[in-house]
Amino acid sequence: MADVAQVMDSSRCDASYDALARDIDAVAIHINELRHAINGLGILDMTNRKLSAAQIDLNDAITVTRNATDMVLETAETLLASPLSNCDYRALVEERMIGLMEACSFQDLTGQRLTRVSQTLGVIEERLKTFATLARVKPCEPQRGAEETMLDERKARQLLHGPGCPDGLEQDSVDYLLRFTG
Amino acid sequence: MALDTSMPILVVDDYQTMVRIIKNLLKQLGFEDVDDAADGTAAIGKLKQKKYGLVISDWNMEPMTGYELLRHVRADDSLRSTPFIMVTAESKTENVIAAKKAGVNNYIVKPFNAQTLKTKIEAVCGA
Repeated sequence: MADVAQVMDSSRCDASYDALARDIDAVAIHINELRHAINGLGILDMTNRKLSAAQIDLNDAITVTRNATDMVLETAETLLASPLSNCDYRALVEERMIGLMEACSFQDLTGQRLTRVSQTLGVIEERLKTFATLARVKPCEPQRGAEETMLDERKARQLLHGPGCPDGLEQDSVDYLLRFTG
Repeated sequence: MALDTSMPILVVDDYQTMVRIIKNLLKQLGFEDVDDAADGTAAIGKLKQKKYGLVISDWNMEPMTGYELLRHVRADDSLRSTPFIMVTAESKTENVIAAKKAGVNNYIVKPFNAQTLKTKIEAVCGA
């Protein structure tokens, strides 16, 4: 009787080991798949090359836009402050108008740079989607610290809500509100 | 309406290009004594040092917004009577109402032109 019980315990133990081994195999396979999925992301390529390039492109676009705006404003200031006679004034205006047209060339660069950034974001999005599928990632909110959340909320509150915002008011409506609300 | 173009004006905006645009428009309107500050905190410093006839402020600034600056000005006995115009793209109804409740004298929605600025300054500061 004791022998029978021992045999039964032993076979139950073997079954448990087999189940454990199968689970470990499954985990190993999943880890392997995950490793391939992570490789497919090309994280080093994304962080070292694509994202750095996108950041440079965006910074260049900001700089060139700012420079162009400064040039336009400077031209306007020069023309408005000019004490020249009518004849000289026309010559100055013509010269400065060319400067204004030159300043408008910023659009060429910003257009190119922003298109490239947009393409990079598309590539990253595709890779992340593929990774999420392979890694069987379930949709969930990203975890953020309390301070980060607070800063994001403040930034969101400070975002522009004017032109382009569907519930933004026109000047006339603002005037009406100021006149007739308590 | 006659405007006292000798009155000092403080322009508060964190976007230097906009400061430049407003200062140029004010110059065209005849105002020569125009200072600027990059946010509410910097503006308070300037308001404590000099008596301004008008504050023209953006809403969206860090660390202190134009709305927070307005509330600070209205809560300070020495600054309370300073005319205050909000110049902002922040044109949601609740913002306009909040600004009015906080004591704003007028509210200009971006983008705006020189005529709008002139009309609003006249409405607030005109004799």
